[in-house]
Amino acid sequence: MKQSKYAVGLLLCLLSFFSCSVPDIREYKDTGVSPDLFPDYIDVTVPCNIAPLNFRLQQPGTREVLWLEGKGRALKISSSDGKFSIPPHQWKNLLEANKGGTIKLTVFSKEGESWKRYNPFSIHISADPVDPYLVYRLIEPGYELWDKMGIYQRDLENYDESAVYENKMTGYNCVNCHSFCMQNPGEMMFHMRGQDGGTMLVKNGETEKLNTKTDSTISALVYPCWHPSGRFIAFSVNKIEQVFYLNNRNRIEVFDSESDVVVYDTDEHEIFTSPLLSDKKMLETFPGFSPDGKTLYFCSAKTFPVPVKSDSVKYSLCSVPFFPGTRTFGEKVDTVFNAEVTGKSASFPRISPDGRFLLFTVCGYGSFPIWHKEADLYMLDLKTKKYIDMSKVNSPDVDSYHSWSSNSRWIVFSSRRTDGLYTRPYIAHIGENGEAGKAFMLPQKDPSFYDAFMKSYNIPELVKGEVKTDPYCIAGRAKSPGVSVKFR
Amino acid sequence: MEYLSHFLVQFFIVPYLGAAIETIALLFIFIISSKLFLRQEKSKLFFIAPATVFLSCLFTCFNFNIFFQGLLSFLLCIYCLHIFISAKDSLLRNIFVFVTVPLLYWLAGPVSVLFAVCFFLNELFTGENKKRIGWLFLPVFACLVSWLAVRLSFTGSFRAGFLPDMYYQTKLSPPFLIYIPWLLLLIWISVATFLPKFNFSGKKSYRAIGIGIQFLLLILFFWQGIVNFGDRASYEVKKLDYYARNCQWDRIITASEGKNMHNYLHINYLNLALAEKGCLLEKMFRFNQKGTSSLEVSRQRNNILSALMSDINFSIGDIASSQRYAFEGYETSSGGGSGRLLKRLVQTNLIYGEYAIAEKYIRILERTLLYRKWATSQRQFLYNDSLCRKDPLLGEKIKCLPPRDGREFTTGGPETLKVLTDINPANKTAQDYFFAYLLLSKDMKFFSDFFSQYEQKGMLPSQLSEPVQQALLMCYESQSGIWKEKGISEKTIGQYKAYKFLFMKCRNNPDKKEIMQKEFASTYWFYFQFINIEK
Repeated sequence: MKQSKYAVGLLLCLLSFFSCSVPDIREYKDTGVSPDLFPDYIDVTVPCNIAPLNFRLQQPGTREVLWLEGKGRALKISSSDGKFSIPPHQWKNLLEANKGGTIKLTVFSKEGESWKRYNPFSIHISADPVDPYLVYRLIEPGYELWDKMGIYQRDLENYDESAVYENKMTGYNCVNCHSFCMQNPGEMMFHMRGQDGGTMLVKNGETEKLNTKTDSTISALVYPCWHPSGRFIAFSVNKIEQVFYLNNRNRIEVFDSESDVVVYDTDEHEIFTSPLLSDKKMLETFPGFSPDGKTLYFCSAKTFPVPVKSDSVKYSLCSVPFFPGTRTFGEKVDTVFNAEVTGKSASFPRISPDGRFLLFTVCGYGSFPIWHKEADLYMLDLKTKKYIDMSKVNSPDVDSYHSWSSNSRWIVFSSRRTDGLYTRPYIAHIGENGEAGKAFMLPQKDPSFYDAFMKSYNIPELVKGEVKTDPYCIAGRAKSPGVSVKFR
Repeated sequence: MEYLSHFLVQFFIVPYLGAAIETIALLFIFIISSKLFLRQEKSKLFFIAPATVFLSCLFTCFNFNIFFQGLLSFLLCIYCLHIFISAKDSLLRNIFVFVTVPLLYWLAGPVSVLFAVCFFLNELFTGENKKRIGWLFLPVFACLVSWLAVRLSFTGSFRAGFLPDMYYQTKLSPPFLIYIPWLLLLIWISVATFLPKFNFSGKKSYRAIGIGIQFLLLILFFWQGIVNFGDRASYEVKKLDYYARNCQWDRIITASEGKNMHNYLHINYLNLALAEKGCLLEKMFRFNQKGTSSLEVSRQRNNILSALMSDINFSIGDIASSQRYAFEGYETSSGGGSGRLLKRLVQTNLIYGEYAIAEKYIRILERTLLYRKWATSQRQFLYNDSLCRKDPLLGEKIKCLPPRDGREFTTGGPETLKVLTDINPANKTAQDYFFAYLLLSKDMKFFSDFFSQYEQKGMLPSQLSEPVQQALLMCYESQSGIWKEKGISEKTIGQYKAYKFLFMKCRNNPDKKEIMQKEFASTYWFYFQFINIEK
């Protein structure tokens, strides 16, 4: 009796072993076409420290096999539902062995008794690592209501995600506009709205709550960008409104009726500005410091009656010298991207940490490109003053909010290319001279994860390490009165 | 428990199945609490203990802001209590009791604190003298687990970590009702030991008195519970919502007949039903109307109203607003989703030709049991403009859209209704709502201006509805020569004369409103003259 039990057990073990083993494919027919994959990882360039790029074949057969071949290593993975899950350890070894090179992937699919082979494709393994963490807000791409939202961090070397802050800690209020100083996870800020509203500033291990509305500014502080020194943060102050289209691909129009740019001094708790940044006849917004801290970039547009003429509001990208020692600005504004000449509107200027490239979003008009299907990323080489070809990065749908990795070799941006509504993070390689590689979607353990995921990835920011803030302490600080900032 | 409750709630759309599921859960609560409180033979007659717990749980079912998850968690809690209290005292049992606390928190939330406190109380009154105080560590341990959950941000607040607040709509403050089952459990578990001492099972007369008193107390408890927590007001709205969801418009109209409606939501459902039946203008004043909010309650940012707002806007052809309300309702639904609203989002995205996003929603619905068939039936419309246009529902709504990528905005109210009727003059629902809005607002200049505009454009029906004729008579009262030209019938003219005659006759009578109401309650004149509206 006991022996027969062992025999059944052994048989089951053998059956399960053979059912999971990778079939040996000797005969196959070439389809002559590339496989239809989700996410599309064909010919993408990925960092040498990225988590496995699991994907699925969109039209699976009865069985699939994936061959991964690189220098000195090869991997075979089998699938019964078209989904390929690459073992993390073997993937890591494959990347390590092929750093700076290419791995070849071949997908086989079984239909009936015969196998077919799709055209092999490559994944380029860059020797440049990407910052290990990506921070984003998860929120429904909605209108005015929300329920649960939060700021989360994802370990890019695996699939671990954890909360930096969730709004359940403070009565399901709105949390937004997280920003880091030079990709430093220890220096960050974000806003909270609602009952315990304020700006939460995390610096030197301390969390501070700021009440940022002053009598001299048109609103509380809104869109941020840190000065590389960590002492200053440039903000816009905006009166933001939105309207809903009856039948427009862009669904919503969000616009500013007033806006200025100010700089906040974290040491003195003071806000200051310049007439060049707060002209009542102009709309100034989206500040961004250069990595040397000597130039402040911002977007500026003439005012028009909104929403009727909101399609006439086009933002130029400008810059003004900034003198941190004296907390003053230069007297001349340079125009980097001229809206009147191009007929387009610029937003979110972000300079690569090495100071070489200026990355910004361009759309037809207005200041809210995430609701503009035509929005694309533009990149200007500040050394040659020439625009870089970003066709491998952009898509026919929205490509918007972006940030740099600390080594200036990677950008992350949000794109609605998958379904036209839910923004997903895409990462693209930028070569030393600006050559942009094909962008790839943030990989997930389950390649079908995005199908049912009903939140958008908002404001993706790369950071050099794990954000170690304590949500409980932040919530406690949020409930305190906070420090009221002054306008100088 | 959260997942289980969400799974079960999907069946509530099937008539009586939701009630059956809740009844089963409540019966289990009654049975288990009976076993818990009435463990000894002498206490068996104290049925009031489990019955009050049962009734208090029943009352929580009437409040739609209390999650079904709360009821299931409570059931799990008393089940665990029953298992451990009835188990023989042993080291293994005691270890498992402690293991159950974090497990229960993980599965069901703060009922773990209730479990621990109840177990301690039971041991305090029934356990061995040496051990009883030692069990104080159990509630302390449960509190520590809950505190840690809050401290480590798994749970958002201390109220949600320790109290049944976790089972209530996140942004609202829970009513006292939600605490009653917990309090009753704590009370009855404390006194359960002493119940056998009140032995009234000996003499028959004592027994009858004891049972009688319990029955009386239960009737009182039930009556008070129904009065205070029965939520009769929302019952009507829930019923109408069900009819609207299933397009049973006649039933809404029938349910409204002869009723003096004060609830704007009720009037909204009624007017939607009348519009869907194509007789809004014709019949609306047969029911009591109260200003423009009778058509659509003000555009509040309230997720509870999302489905209704989405339905009304879908009906009039404002697909953008319908989509917006459906989306906001979906994202703020308790449990993070609603099959009904997702169905609407599939439709609005098909109407807009946003097939990729429609496909995403179809894929999600196909994972459900009850929406799968419908979702699969919508696949045929994906990436097929001509089929969408041919479909009676989608095609009709597509005709309501302005040209793609235009800059028309939806602001709600008469401006959008006018835009919709200008876009598609055949959109009778939008036109009826527009004129209904003009009539309900009592702004006669506004009304006559737009009537003239529509008249010039030839957008009016050959036979004007009675309330419109009545309003026209008011506008052109002094120009009897053009009455017929404006489309006012002899019947309306005669009726107006009768109205005026009666009004002149009783104008000094303090009861003139009631007198006029008897004869002319369903006329626009009566509405205009006697119904006060908020401007």
